This record gives sequence, C-alpha cells and structure tokens, in this order.
Amino acid sequence: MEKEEDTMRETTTAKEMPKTFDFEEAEPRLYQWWETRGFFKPEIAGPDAEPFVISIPPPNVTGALHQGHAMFVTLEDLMIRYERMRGRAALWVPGTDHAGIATQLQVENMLRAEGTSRERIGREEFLRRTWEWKAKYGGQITQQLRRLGASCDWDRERFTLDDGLSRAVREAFVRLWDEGLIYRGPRLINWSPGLQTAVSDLEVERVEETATLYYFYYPVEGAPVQEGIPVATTRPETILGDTAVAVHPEDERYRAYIGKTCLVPMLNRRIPVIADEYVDREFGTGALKITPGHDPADYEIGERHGLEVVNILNRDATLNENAGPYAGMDRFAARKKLWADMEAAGMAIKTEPYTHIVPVAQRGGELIEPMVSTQWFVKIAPLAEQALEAVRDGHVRIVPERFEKVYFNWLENIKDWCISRQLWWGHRIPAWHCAERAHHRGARGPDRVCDVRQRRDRAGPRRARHVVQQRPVAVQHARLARRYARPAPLLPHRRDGDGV
Amino acid sequence: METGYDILFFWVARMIMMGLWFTGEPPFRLVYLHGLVRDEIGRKMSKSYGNVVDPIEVMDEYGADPLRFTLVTGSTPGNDMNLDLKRIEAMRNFGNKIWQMARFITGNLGGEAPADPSAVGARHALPLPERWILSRLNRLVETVQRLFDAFLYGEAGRQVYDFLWGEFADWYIEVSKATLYAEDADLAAQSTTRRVLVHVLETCLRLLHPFMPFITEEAWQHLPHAGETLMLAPWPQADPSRIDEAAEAEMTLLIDLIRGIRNARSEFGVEPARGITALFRADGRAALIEAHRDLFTRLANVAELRFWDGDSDGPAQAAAVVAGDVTCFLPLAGMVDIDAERARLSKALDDIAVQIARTEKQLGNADFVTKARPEVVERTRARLIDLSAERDSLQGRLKALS
Repeated sequence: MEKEEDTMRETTTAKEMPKTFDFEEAEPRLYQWWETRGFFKPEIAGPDAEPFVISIPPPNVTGALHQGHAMFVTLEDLMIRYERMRGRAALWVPGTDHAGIATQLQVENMLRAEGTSRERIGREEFLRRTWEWKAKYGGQITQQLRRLGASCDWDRERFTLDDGLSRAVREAFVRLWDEGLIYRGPRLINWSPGLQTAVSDLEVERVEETATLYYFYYPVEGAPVQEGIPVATTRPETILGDTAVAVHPEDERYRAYIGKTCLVPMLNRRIPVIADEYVDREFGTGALKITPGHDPADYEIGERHGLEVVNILNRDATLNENAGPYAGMDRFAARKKLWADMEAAGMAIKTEPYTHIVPVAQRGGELIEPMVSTQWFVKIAPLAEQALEAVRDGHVRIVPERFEKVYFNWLENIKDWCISRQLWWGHRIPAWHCAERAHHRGARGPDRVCDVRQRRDRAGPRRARHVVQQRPVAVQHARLARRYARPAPLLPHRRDGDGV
Repeated sequence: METGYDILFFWVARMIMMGLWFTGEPPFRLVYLHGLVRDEIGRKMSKSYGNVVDPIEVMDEYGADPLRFTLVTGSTPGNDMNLDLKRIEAMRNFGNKIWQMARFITGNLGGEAPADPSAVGARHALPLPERWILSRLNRLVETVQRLFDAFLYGEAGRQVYDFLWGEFADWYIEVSKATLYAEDADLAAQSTTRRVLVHVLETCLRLLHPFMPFITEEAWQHLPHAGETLMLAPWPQADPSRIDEAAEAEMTLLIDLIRGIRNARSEFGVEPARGITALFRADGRAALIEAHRDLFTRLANVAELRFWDGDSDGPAQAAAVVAGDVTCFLPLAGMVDIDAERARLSKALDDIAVQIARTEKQLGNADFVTKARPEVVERTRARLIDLSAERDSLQGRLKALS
C-alpha cells in the first residue's frame, strides 16, 4: 500500500503548531496574503474557466457592520469560495451605495455642528463637502467586510455615484423617456417645514401626542348651520383644504346627505358629500372631512373618487392663497383663528382632549405635514410583465421557492414607481426644461436638442429647431432637487464591464 | 443574486425588470434569499431593546470564523434565525477542536509528510478502522455535495461538524493512537494510519473552507498538502469505491459496544482506573470482537474480555449492554461494592420518590395549574417527566444488583 515513489518531504509540519489558533494575528495576515497574491481575482482560474459572478448588494457607504451584513457576506463568500474551489472563474464584485438619505443626513448634521446648513452653503459646496465626507468615512464598511473574510475583487470595487454607473442611470432614464414610460405626477410626500425638505418614510417617526378633537357642523348647502353634518378633526386648519365630506354608505344617520353639497366653513367653497366604506362609523361622529392635499388616507379616498386636491400650505407651513383670509398665517395660528371664527358662526359643537399618533421628523421631532408635490414616475406595467414571465418560465429561479409566489403577487399588483427624491446627494434626474415649448424632456445632456427624432440621429448634423434650456429641471424648481430612488437596479448587468 | 428576503421587491424585482427591459436578459439566473438575524429569543435586534449583537464585538472576541459558522449553520434559506452568543462560543470551541486535531496529526507524523495522503492503498488491504473512516468520509463528501446542490449550506456545515467531532476526533483519532503509539511498531501500518489521518482532516478542511476560511487555511498550511493555498485547493469529490457497508456495520457495532460499556461504567460510578470484566455473547461476531480486543482495553478499560456461552440472561448480578445481535455482560462484582451500591441506590430512590410526590401534588393543585405562568407550569411538568425517568433508571440498576 505504501508507494515507493511517494515523496516524503520536509514541510512546515516539521515545526510544531502553536497550541491555539491566534485569530487576531492570523486573520489580517491571511487576508492580506490572499489579496496580494491575487487569489480573489477570477483570472486565477485560467482563461477557459466558466464564470460565476455575484454582485454585492451594496451596503450603505455610511454604514457600520450589523448582523444583516454579516449574514449576506458570509453566505456570498461561502458561495464564491466554493465555486472558486470548483475551478470556476469566481468573481465577487464589491461596492457601496451612496445612500442618499443617510449620507445627506450625516453631512447635514456635521454642517449644523459647524453652525451652517445645506441651504446656506448651496448645492455645489454641499456636494463638495459630501464627497469629502465620503472619502474620509466611506471606507469603514468595506474594511469591515474584509474582516469577515470577504473574498471580493477589490480592484473592481464600485460606488453607485461612479461615472460609469451615473452614465448608465442617465441612459436608462432617457431610454425609458423615449419609450414614453416616464411621466410626472402628483404624490403625497412628508414635508418637514423647519428643515424645508421632504423626508422619506424611513425618517418619519410616529409618536403619541395629546391633542384636541374639535367637533363641528359641516354646513350643508341650503340648510341651517345646525343641520349640517357633525364632523370631528384634530387639525381644523386643514378644513380649508377639504374637497369632500365622506360617510359610510350604510350609515342610516347620514344616508340622506349622500350626493348633497357642503360648504367649506368661512370659504364657502362647494364640495360633495360622498359615500365610502373606508369610513369608520364608530369613530368620532361617523362622518369624515376629506383633505386629499394633506392626509395620506384622504389622498387615497380622493383618488378613488376623483376629488380635487387643494394644497393650503406654503413650504414654511404658513397658509397659502387657497386659505383665503387665513393666507400668510402660521398653521397653528390659523387653527386658533379659524376655530374662533367657526365658534362665532355657530358651527362649533365642542372640543375634547384626545390622544393620537402623529408623524414627526426623526431629526428634531418637528411635526410632519403631508403635502402633495410633483414627482417622477416610471410606468411599470410593461416592465413587470417581462419580469413575471422570467420567473414563470424558469429563466430566473428563486430559492426558497415559496418566495416566487410573493414575487408574483407583488408584481401583479405593482404601482407605478416613484423614482424621484428631494435630495441633493444622488443622481439628478436627467431632464431639462425647454423654455421655448414650456415642456420637460429627458436627455443625456443639456446640449441635446429638443426634437427627439433629430436627437437620435447622433451621427448626423444637429438640425436643432431649438436647444433645450441648459438647466436641469431640478434647478428650475430649486426646492425639488431630484434623484433616482434606486440607481443600482437600473444597472444590473456587468458592473464590471469586462463580461466576466 | 444573494440577499435578504426583505429586499426582494426593493432590489431584486427591480433589477430583474430593468435588466430584462434594457438587455433582454435577466441580470441573474438564481436568487437565493436568506432570513433576518434576530436575537436569541427571536426579537428584532434594535437599539431600543438593547439586544443588538454587534458583529465587530463578536469578531473581536471570537474571530470571524465562529461568527460565520454560527450564521450559516444556524439558518435555513428564507427563514429568520435567532443568534445566541452561546452558539458562537460553541462554534469557537469547534474551531479549537479542529486546531487540536491538526496539532495531534502534525505532532504524530514522525517526520513523514505524504505528498498524496489519499494514496492509502486498496480498500481490502486496509484495517477496519481505516476502511470505516474512509467510507464515512466519502459518504460525508457525497452528502455535502447533495446539500450544496440544494443550497442547504447550513445542514452541510452541521454534517461536517458532526463527522469531524463525533466520528473522526472521538473515534478514529482515539483508535489511531493504538497504531501510532504501539511499542512493537508496525511501520507500514503506522504510515497508513498517518496518511488516513492527514487525508481525512485535509479533506474536511477543504469542505469547511467556505464556511471558516481563516482557521482552515492556517491549519491546512501546517498539514502536508499540495498547492499554495487552501482557497484554490480542489473541492472534494466523493470516491464511491471507498464506500464500505460491511466496515461501517462492523465499526458501528464496536463503537456502540464500547460506548455502552463506558455508559455502564459511569452509571455505576466505576472509577476510570479500574479494569473491568466483559463477557460477550457474540455468536457470529466473536471473531470481530476478538480481533479488536485492544479497542475494548484502551477505550473502555476492559481488563478481561471473555466470551459467554451460558444462559442468554447472562450471569447473575451483571449489567448488560446490547448492540445489534451482540450482548455484553458486565459482572458488577468487579465494578462496585454491591452492598454499598444497593444502599446508595435505595437512598437515592427514596429521595426521588419524595420529589415526585411533591411535584405531582403541585400539578394536582388546580390553583397552581390555572394561575401560575404557563411557562412555570410547563417547566414543572417537564421536571416530573425527568424525575420519573431517573426513578426508572435507578430501579433498573437496583434490580441488576439483586
């Protein structure tokens, strides 16, 4: 059994192994050795090896390692190391996400500590400071991935605001634009009046607050005030933006009112009485005032019934011209004044203390005002159809399989995708406003001509009828800087560019 | 694509949509979804609960490998997992165990460093323990491959853990010492054993490398090996010709008998140094037991091994260990002071009877059952079951002494 030709060689085994494995010493040493020897590179497998590629789900550049990261890094590294040992050209492409919201918040905090603000230093300076911040702190998370042993090819590291990725985002936008799949439309956002910015759902906290519930008669056209519909609200000033009063279709008390017209107190604007099963007969008086411009639930009811959306707030939370005599007042002052006027007019019934949940800004705890604003959307149905098909016909497999059902269910009921955010740190929507024709258009750059047929003829001379304005819309509507919500999904292929 | 199920929509679905739309091809063929990491009792980790287990702190204390191994072996695809620091500690201990195995093997190579340790000769020419461990190893490689093919990485890791600790370290390494330390050294047999030791551990290090890259690489570098790095060592392939049903059955029988004798020794409180007598009723297995006398001597301190051809009930006052069609009788006279042991057991039985009565009374109390917290009632019920089992065991031993 023992073969003569077996060479018995002196190896490191000749010296005794240490008693224990000193991971503190060994882990960084081994990692550095692996990396410098090029073992993390797919090329190590030779030119004929079959590729196996994982693109890292990029952690936030602001991030600090948590167990969620540890889990995905462990599993992905396991898969990569396994395939590498099987002789495949294994490539794990690392990268980080610019994480618009999180990063912008960090930098804004820093600016505040310096006694200044994003608005004061302006966009250009803000971006310069953010890149500076990223250069200084952005490496932490990738160092932590290394500690876990992640065998990524770091020479191929990407950042979601890299030139290549930014180009791809613009390209994707323009193509979708050209295909008529991008449009602008209204959407309810969370507005933080003190910070003068929209904040994402992630930055809104819900806290309990003791407030007052105001009961009053909603005047019905042609009837005495006291025969109006009793309604309760915690925010009387929003009455000025009401566009309907809603009751439950089966509520005997109010059935007779359905289809009649109410008059907005003090403004006498005519609004309909509608029936909607969303109304909770047990809550308050059982009748609801509907303010689609300033309440998410009302916004949905408004969409169902095709109600008008009236915005009564300026961006500093003072009331605008839609508030009639209350225009220019602060929201809380207006609340008092309007209620006093309603009391004088005999509309007020009573007030009572009331505890409820209100949205406040994570930073500062300021009350958030839901407000309608114009955002950019992708018409998603045609894209979703293909994505459904790919999993149905097995081109994409999901493990464990039960999530395929979840995936189908979501895509079958998908809503148009809002791709804009009110942030400075991120990809800007590559759309320009054409002054001459007063319309928007998506373009690869500001020097592109407006006419799409000519613009496509890139080899030919520019026979522009007119040139689009050299300013992105984002600047024109300075308060609404825009970016893509999720740029990475726009570029799923070959982050790497070399086709491995 | 590998990611958490919580971003199936945010990322995965959108990447598929965009990829298909712009390139006509899906961006990936496979989506593997893992679950969330929760605390040890299943709550979401959050600063406000104060239950966050910081991976950096874990790595500072235990290193990266135990954290990785815990995360993979504690989870299944698509399901949330509970992360318990005790498990991380247990996996650190597993790492230490691997290191000790490698240290034992490298310390016993006797200057020999087989370049190809898998060249151990034909199956039929090998002794039983070697045939057995190679068969088990190849079954393991087969199982791990099947599990990897089904993306069940956690179960694959658990299989390697069980094999390395429960079969290789606890049994093969112990058995190998007979050959390695033999005074009348059979050089060829020693060489074979060394090769097998290296081959089995080296193969397992390759299986474990994707789970625990650091300690496996470092241990591998100390073992005889081919190639520069474990990272690029070939993934193990099962060799079906090494699967040996007969060897597995025989070795399993020997292990079960030795384990049974050890358990009986500890049950009767026999001090480790005392050699005992074992009487085997073995029929067709007598030759096997005869051939492995030394295993019983070394691993169960059997001083006298004989075969029993008398009554199938065995001798009076003897404990019995049954494995397959073999029964091993252990005359108690040689193990314990029978009178003292009987007295001790009787006393223990009395004590346990009191405890059982008390627990039964408590559970018979309607007030306690309805008003105490459910987990307290549950715990009391479980305790009654444990106590009853202990009573049965004591009674059995007392009976053996009569």
